[in-house]
Amino acid sequence: MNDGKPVFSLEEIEKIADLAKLELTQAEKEVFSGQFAEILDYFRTIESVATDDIPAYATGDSSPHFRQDVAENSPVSPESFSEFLENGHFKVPRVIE
Amino acid sequence: MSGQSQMEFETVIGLEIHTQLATQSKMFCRCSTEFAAPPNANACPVCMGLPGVLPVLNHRVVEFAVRLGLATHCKIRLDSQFARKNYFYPDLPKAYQISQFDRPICENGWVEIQVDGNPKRIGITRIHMEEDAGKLVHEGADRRATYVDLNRAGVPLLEIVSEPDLSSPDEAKTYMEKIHSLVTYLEVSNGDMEKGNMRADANISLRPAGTRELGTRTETKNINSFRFVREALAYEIERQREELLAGRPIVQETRLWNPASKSTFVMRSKEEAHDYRYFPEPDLPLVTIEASWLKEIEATLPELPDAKAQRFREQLGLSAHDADLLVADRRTAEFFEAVVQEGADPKRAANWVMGDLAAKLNEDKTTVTDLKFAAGGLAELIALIGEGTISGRMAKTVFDALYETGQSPRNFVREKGLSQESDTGALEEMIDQVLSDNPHQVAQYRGGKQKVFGFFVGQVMKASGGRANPAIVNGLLKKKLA
Ligand SMILES: [Zn+2]
Repeated sequence: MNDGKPVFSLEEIEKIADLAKLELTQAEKEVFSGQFAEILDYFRTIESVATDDIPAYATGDSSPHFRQDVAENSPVSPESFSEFLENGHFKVPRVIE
Repeated sequence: MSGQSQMEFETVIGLEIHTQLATQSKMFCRCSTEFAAPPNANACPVCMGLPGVLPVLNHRVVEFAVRLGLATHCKIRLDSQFARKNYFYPDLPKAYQISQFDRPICENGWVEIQVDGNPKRIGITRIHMEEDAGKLVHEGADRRATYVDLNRAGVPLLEIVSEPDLSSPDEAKTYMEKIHSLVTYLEVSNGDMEKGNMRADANISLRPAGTRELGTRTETKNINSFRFVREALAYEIERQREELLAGRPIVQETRLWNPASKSTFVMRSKEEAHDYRYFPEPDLPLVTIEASWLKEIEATLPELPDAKAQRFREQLGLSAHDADLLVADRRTAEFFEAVVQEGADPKRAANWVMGDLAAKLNEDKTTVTDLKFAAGGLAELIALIGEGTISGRMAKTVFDALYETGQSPRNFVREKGLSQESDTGALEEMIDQVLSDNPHQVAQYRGGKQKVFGFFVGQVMKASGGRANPAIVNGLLKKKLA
């Protein structure tokens, strides 16, 4: 790390956009690169908190929390919230060539 | 080992098998797991990834994971953890899959398979719980659209990851069959291959024979039958061999098996593990398993195929080959045992179950659970042969009737007058007649021409309308011709 804010390169933004299947304009990439750097910078603040004695993962509840294997119809159907349905399927932009 | 293709290289194979669990409801919600429901009929806010919902883990999923873990000699983690595997694709409405990462429920186990008649241990690296993704349909009305069905999204799966201990396509097939046999014995999965209950991805690499270092591997996906695992691996091994012999390096990539063209093709460049940005699932607590529950699960495990095969060998005197074949399918093994319990000779029962019965079931694409007759029917048929009432040839006819209609073999034989003529007196009369009708052949036989014997047997069988008991005819003929 350098002394100033963390650097978030355009290449890194492009890689993340690629994984997220997003097409970004040059201007958007620059905006995000600045925002991502700010977010990472905030993690430095979090890192300064002493956490050595705290387990890495805790929910405060270690009792088993299960549901029984019983099937039931959903109270909410896709029709009640989505307008992108065709013959029962959700219709999305084509994802293969 | 098959010839030249194996001469310079060793094959190293590891399998990742996904098996769908036989639960009523999905992994984190109450939606049904039924097969072939109308699109999105079994989808709710949780499995559709709507904001503000929380997953609640299905008790059964954990029980099933532990059952398989115990059966494969794994160490069971009593506080395993779910993790988010992030990727963007429309079959995954939350944009992450709830899976397990560094704290899977089962680790470090093994199963034993038979390779050329010798036992070989295949290591199990891990077994973890995860949810299935939805189904995408690309062949809809609109060519610019993809259609999404989330009925399968959130259906529970176990992923079983093997060590790279498999050395050939045949071993991989045997291993996959073993896992299939285990999950069906344990009743954790229906193991219905046609419904996609079991799918495998194979990691394959070659290395110069005798060396230790692993070569660059490829991953072949979409292997959903025992036949395909052998074909896909054979294809991929040959492809890599040709690349290496031509001096071209193997590219680490994901390939897809196409059963129609019987070849694999590149799917997409392999995403590195960290691209999934796994992190602990904050919506779910640790999966804690109490010692008492673990004990309870252990106590209710059924007799597993290896133990059953051993019992068939030691108590029923079956060969290792027959025992292994019989136990592969739990229901077949249980049917066989029921036939033996009805008094049938184990060896004969095994032959009928694996021979004529298996052939019929295979032809009709059905299983022993849908038979028209009970185990007692087959035992009766075997008894009829044993006591000489019917010949082996007649038995086929009787079996066909039993299989088609479920009619009792003894009744069928009586009704059709099929029974074999074993009455010595009646047979002797027929033989005397045949001998006196054919003095020329009798002279030939007595002059040393042994081959004529078959002619006499044929004549007696003909005279009896095919019903003479051949063993008795042989004995009587020898006595009379002596
Ligand atoms: Zn649901």
